[in-house]
Amino acid sequence: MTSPEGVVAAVRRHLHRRGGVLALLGVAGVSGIVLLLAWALGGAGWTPGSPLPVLLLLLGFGASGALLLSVAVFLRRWSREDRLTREVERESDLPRGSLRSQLELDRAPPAGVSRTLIRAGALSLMSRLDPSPQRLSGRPGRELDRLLRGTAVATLLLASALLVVVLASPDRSRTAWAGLASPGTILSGTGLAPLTLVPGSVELPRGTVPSVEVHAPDRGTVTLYWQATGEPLRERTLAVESGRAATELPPLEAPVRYWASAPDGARTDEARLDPSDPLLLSQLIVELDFPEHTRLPNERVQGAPTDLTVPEGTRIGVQGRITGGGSQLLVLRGEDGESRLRLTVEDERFQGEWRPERSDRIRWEMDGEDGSRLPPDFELTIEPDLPPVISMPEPGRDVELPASLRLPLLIEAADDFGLDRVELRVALLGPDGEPMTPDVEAIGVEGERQVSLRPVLELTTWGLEPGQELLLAARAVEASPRGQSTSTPEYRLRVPSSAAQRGAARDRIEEVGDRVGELARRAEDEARELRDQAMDSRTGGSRGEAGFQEREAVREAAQAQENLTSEVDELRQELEAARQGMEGLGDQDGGLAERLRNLESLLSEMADPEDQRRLSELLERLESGEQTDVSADLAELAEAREDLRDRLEEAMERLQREALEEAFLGSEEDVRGVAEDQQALASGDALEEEGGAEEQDRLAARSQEVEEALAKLAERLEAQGDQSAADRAQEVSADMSRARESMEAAADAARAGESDEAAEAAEQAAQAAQEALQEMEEARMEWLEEWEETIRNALRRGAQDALALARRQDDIRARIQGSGSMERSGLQSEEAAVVQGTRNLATRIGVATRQAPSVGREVNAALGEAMAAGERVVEGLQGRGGRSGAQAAAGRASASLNQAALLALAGMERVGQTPDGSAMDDLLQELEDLAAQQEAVNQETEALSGDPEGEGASARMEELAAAQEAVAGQVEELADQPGGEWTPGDLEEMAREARELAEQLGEGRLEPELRQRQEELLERFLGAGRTLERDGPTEEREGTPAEEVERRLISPLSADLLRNQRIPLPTAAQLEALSPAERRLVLEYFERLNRGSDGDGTR
Amino acid sequence: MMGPALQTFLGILLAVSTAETPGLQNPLLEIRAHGATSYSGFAADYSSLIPGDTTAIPLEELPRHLADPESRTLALERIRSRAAESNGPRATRWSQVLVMAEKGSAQAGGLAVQGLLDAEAGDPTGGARRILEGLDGVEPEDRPGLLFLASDLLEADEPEEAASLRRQLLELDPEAAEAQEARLVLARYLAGSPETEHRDEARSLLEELVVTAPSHPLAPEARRLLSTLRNP
Repeated sequence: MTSPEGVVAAVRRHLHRRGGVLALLGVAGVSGIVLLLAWALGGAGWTPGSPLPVLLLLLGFGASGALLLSVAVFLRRWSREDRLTREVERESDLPRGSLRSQLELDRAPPAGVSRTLIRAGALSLMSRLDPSPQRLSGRPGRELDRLLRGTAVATLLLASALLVVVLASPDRSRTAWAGLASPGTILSGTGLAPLTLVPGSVELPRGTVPSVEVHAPDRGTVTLYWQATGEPLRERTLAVESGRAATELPPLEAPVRYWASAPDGARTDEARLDPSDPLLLSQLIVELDFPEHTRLPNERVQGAPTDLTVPEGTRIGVQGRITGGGSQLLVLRGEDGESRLRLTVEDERFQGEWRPERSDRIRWEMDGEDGSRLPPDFELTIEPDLPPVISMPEPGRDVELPASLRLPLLIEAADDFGLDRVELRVALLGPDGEPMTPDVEAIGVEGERQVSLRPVLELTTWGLEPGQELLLAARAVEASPRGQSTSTPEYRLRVPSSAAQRGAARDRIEEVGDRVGELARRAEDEARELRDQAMDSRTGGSRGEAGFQEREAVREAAQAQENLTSEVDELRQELEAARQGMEGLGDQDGGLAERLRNLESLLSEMADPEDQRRLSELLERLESGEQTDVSADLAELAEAREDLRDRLEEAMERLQREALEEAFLGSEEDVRGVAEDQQALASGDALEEEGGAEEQDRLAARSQEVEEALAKLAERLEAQGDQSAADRAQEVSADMSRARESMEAAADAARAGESDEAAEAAEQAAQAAQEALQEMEEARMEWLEEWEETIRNALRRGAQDALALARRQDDIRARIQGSGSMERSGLQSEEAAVVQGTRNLATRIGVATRQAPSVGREVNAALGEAMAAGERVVEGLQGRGGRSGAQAAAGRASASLNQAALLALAGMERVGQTPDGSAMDDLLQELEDLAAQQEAVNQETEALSGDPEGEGASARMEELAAAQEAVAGQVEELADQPGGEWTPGDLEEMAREARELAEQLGEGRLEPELRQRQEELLERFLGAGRTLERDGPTEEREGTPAEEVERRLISPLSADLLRNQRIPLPTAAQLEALSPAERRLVLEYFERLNRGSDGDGTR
Repeated sequence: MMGPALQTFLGILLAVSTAETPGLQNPLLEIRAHGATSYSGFAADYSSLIPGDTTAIPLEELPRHLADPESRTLALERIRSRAAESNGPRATRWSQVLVMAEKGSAQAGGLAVQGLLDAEAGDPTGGARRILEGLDGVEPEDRPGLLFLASDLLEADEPEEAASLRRQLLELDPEAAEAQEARLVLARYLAGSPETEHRDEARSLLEELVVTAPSHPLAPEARRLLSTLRNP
């Protein structure tokens, strides 16, 4: 400010600046106020058509305009120079008008006025002016400052408030101010679609969780506001998808008002949700009591059920409380309108139950009311109790029973609620093809819902016959009271033919033989390994306390021994099963069953008791931690293993031999079968009848199979070294081939209707088959005889060799007497050689008689005694026992060797001629049993004859007759059994005698003669047993029937015969007339007579 | 309560009681003459060896009965019982005779019995001669056994002839059942000879035995003897 003009201008500028700022702040404040007002009025959204945004804007503009006008007027007024200068003069304490006058002077200096004075006056004026325009502005300046300050504060407060609302509720702020941004749109109500609330104002059941939707097309979000009575306002922003936004409100317990708004300011009308109480009932409980057989735990449903699915038989209990309402009867009604349950209300409570029988839709009704406040209807679904399901995958079809007559089954059954049992039903088909009374066996399954059973059908005790059929079925019965059941289809079980049964048994023998061979090889390997281990242990110096590993090695070896014997026992069980199967079928091939039994015995002897005992002791020592000599233990185990190997090899040879023999026999049976059937076909008119050609074809096919079996048999025989038998088998096969060709020709001719040619060809086939059969029988007998002859030759050689050793022994014995020490040394070595030779002989006999073990055992027992005696000879020659002892032992050795020779010769007769010892034992046992039964009958007859008219005598007589009849039946069976022909005496005649006695008893005739005949019959049984036991069967043995012997008058023996002399014996001629048994009895009798009369004549 | 057997016994008893008192012709007394005082005096295994008739046939009638098919079995049982009741070398010889009688023809068996009976009567040489004289009348397959028996009977008195018979046996049938023993016994005889060729022959015989039948019961003795020969 350098001049008064400048000062005025500065002051004027100062005022204008202040005024401008004031205007700005004022407008800002007005804007703030408008925004706050909009926030307050439109924060919840602008209703379409609302003028408020426009009004607010107008108000804002208006206020702002007014403010600006005011400021402008104020400035205009105070910007006048005169007022302005006056304020400056006042503020500067200048005389009024000084500054104005100066300004005028400066602007238009009057004429004549010195500019210098003017300037000096300006300067003087200026020196008296405040340099600050603000101070010079005076009252207007101060007014502006005051307004400015106030406006600034107000504006600042408004800004702060705006900041707060923006931060606190940005959505509201946005919503409100968005409306301000488009007041025209809001005022016009056009552009975006209005918001819609769903469900709007409704009543909902109390406690319901309301689902609310806001339809807000073209919006991205909406805000839902709601307020329950007594609760604060809540809001939730929802994302809009496909023009809808949905959410759930809290459970409806009190009336709720709600609305929604969009960011564009759109807003719905306020809606209302009112809770209603639909259930008139309270504390409603539905109890579900399921049937016991379902084993389901009972359930409780709190509140009204929606849908119920329950098993059939469920009891439904309903209980609850009724609040309000005046009805005394609550009814559950079905779809058909009929009531299912009527509940009487007492003291506001009700309770009842019913057992629905079918599915239904249940409706609640209050008697006399429309039930609008009752629970909604619900679906009641009754699940029926389904019948069980069952299947039998094994066998699953008609099958042929295995040879063992044990059929493993697999039965699978299931039920929805559990099974009570599964029944197995087996019925034998009678001769008419109709099933007989079934045998039913129930298997309890304890309520299981699903079972898989694997029973084994055991038919060995049924007495089945080859070719019979049975029907098999399974039935599942459920555990429910209805006891529904389901059965499987019936399956036919065919009993294998005797041929099939025997074939299976034969195959089993062969399989077992192969497996025994494997076990023997394994035993051999293990024995060798044990020997090596023993050797290593010995050379390693581990005598005494054995390390852990060594002890474990011994333990494992011992365990392996047990495993071997256990495996052998399993093989024995297989043979046993095959035999039982055959016996169960009543197979008449007692020879095969007997061979199987013998083989079982052979295998059961594998476990030598002595070896087992040593093994057990060894294991005990190992378990107790006792010190043990590992090397010795291993050697002991090796020895046991070798022994087992030897026994296994023997068993294997027996089995292989038996298998081959059975194969031979089986082939012979097959050939016989074909020959017989062909003969039957050729001899009758069957070939001309319908199906005759087909039957011929089947026979031809069988013949083919027999040819192939014979070819295989020939191979086996050749492999066995039986070339002759192999060749003959080939010849039989060739015969069967010719027979087959003729059969095929016969079948072709029969089909062509050429009956004569067919008959001729069939006859040729029958003839060829018969020739084959004859050839086969001869071949088998020849083969058997060759084999038996081989054994006999071996025994004969063995006898010869035993005698050779006996001669050596006799020679040694003779030279012991009188021998010096030098000679004794030589004799020792000779004796040792004899002992070794005897051992060799025992080995050879053992090998040769593996197929006749009983003979071999006897001979080897004698050889064993000879060896033992020989060793005592050696000991005696060594000085232990003396020469006399040695000589005596040599004598015993010689005698044992002679004994061995005689036993070998005796054994020759037994090879291949008689049933084995076990069959003999069976015969003996049967005879003993018969004798015991007969004795019991005799005693009872004796007792009854003492009081024939006594109480119950008639019944006892009948029982006696039945018992005697039973004896007769058993004797007949014994006669029919294989080996029965070896029983001394005529069994058939004995059976007839027993039957006649039974008839007399049945007629009540208790005559003395009857009792005598009973005693005689008993004596015959006893005599037959004694004879069998003593004599054994021989080729020349014959059973002679008991004959009537003329009773002679027996006079007492003369005294001369009984005094001091021996009674002369019968001559050879006299004795020859008797059977061997009778001769023996005679001789013993005479011996007893003569006994005690030697020398002194006493008896 | 008598069975038919007992009735028969009594019948026989009656018949016997009315017969003449028999003397030594009674065959059973033959047994007692050889030591048995009663039937229980037979060898312990009597019952197992003699299932049938045992004592009715006199020894000297054995050849006849061996030739009779109806009594052959009884004859064999008689021989068996004879062997069983005997001791030592006699038992062995009777057992040997039984082997021959079982295997061979009736003639061979009878010849063997006769020869042995001669020997037991004190004339083993005569018995051997009887056998050798009857050799041509028997089947060829029976001759080795008879030769063996004859050589055994001559062993004590005519060892050289016995050796010759054994050679004949080996030439006749080197595979005979008696052949190995013949080899051994011949070798023993030859080993005792001072002549080298005899000892060589002995060695050869023993080697043949050991090689062809290493597990023969006489093989250990043969080896022992061979060792002796090789290391005198």
